[in-house]
Amino acid sequence: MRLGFVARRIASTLPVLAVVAVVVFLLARIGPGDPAALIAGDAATSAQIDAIRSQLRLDRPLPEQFLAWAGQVAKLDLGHSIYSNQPVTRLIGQRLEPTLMLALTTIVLATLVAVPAGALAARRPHGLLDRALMLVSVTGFSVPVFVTGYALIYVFALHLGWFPVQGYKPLAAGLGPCLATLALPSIALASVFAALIARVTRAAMLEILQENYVRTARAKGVGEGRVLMVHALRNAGVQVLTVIGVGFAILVGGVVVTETVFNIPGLGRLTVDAVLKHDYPVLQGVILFFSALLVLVNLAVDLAYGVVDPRISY
Amino acid sequence: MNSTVLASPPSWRLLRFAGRPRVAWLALAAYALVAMLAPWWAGDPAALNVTARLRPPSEAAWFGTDQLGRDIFARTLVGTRVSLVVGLSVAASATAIGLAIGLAAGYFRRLDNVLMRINDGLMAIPGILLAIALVAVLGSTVLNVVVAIMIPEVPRMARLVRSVVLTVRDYAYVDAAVTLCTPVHRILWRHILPSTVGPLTVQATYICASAIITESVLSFIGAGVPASVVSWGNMMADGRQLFEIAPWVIFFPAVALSGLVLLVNLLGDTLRERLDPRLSRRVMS
Repeated sequence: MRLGFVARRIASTLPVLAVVAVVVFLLARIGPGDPAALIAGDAATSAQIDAIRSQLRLDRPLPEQFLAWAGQVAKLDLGHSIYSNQPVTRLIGQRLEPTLMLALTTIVLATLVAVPAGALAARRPHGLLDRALMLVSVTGFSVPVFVTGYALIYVFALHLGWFPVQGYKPLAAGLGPCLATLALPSIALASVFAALIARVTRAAMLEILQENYVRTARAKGVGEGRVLMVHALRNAGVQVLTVIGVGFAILVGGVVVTETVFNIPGLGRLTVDAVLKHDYPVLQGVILFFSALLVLVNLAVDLAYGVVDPRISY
Repeated sequence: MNSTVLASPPSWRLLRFAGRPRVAWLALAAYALVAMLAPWWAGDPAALNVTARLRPPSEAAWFGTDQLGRDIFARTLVGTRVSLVVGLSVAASATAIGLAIGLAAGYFRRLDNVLMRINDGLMAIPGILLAIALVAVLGSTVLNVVVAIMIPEVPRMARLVRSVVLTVRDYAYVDAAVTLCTPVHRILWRHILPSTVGPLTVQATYICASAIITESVLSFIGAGVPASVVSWGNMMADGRQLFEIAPWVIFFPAVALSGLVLLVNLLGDTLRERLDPRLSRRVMS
């Protein structure tokens, strides 16, 4: 039964990925201008442009082009960058580490801060801590990431000099220096993510703390810390997982901005550069990558529901 | 979750509900006023004055000047227009289209599957990436930016409307209307649509806030409104290299932007609390 559900859930990602593929494919085709001329460059003759057009099969009907392109993608061949002629997969592979490190530190930081904060705030609804948390989280959610980023740079990098202003040191240079360069970017990004998580945790805990089993635990004399951590927080797991899945899409957007502000050579910067240079293969490749990642994350979240909440059985 | 919809009041009562907090409303009205009056009152945002480059805030230039000598105060005030126009347009259009799709998907079972698959596919692409790509492809104008930001927001709205419709569809009064052979468009318009207005409005305010942020992000990375249009994102992009020596170029548009988004989000929160506390679970902000 369980395996059947997992199989069905995985199978349901296929139509989603198909729609993503169609959208991404169409993206490069709907713009004004001739892709072949773009690739050929300014000084090309019309014969050269025609040659490129037939080489890239741009003169074939759209569905045929799509199938050819989809076949390539399935073999993990995402084409070559118009600008640098490198294979897109290699470009993505080179830029993967900074982005992954940034995303990981952000998620860890945000969860570690927001979940306890939300839980503590829910203990006394509309109390001082609760109101303060709500105000801070709305601010964290409203202030755009690059504003927070610049504020952090101004205070902690320019004035206090605790952290580097920008740049990224890879893991190979040591965990310490790597985290030092990631500190400010991940704090900036985590402020948005943590705001989301805190709100949801608080909302979930507000309900859970009214439940009978919490009252029983307290009546039994269980310490408040244990009540919160062991008895109450676990039940919020489903909702917190949901918000992590939803927040991932926001995280991807935030990564793009943060890498631009802090000059981190990751996938976000790759996207921005590709957009400014109209390098469509790279752009399509990055979008495909992130979408597939998002689908995977949502799949993992759905499957994790069954693990986190034993009452859910598939 | 079912009774959530019953608590949703008729549309016009929403206005009375949104009474407090008054300060936030006044501040929003101030923003709107600035947006409308700015071109006449604030001075010329494009006036180059190369002799007065990068001056810090002073009597002559309240917010300072940027690297081309342009008055930051004027540019900040004029930038309000783009943000509000984009925010409101995206919210309105995403709501309208999402409503149509959600109603269709929720009411007509055969359309549901197809529409929801396409929906899920669109939601799988991170919003900002899709918006960036659309602007890159369509070209950099305000209209294209609005379209590019709107398209990723439609699926979430459609999902929300659809879930409300699925609940209301089984209610007794809808059943009665069907039994009386009421034409479908009448059922949708008079019986089902009013129940969607509550969650719709709350989500629309969040979409507005999100659109304002997205527009500034797009302009910041250079994939948004053209440089000839004054936008807070553009201003911050201009000030990027100069941050260490002239932080005021970034500071004032940043504060203006954060303030506006904060106010709109607060408004959304207030509306949500007024309508029904249990709605908060349905509306994922």
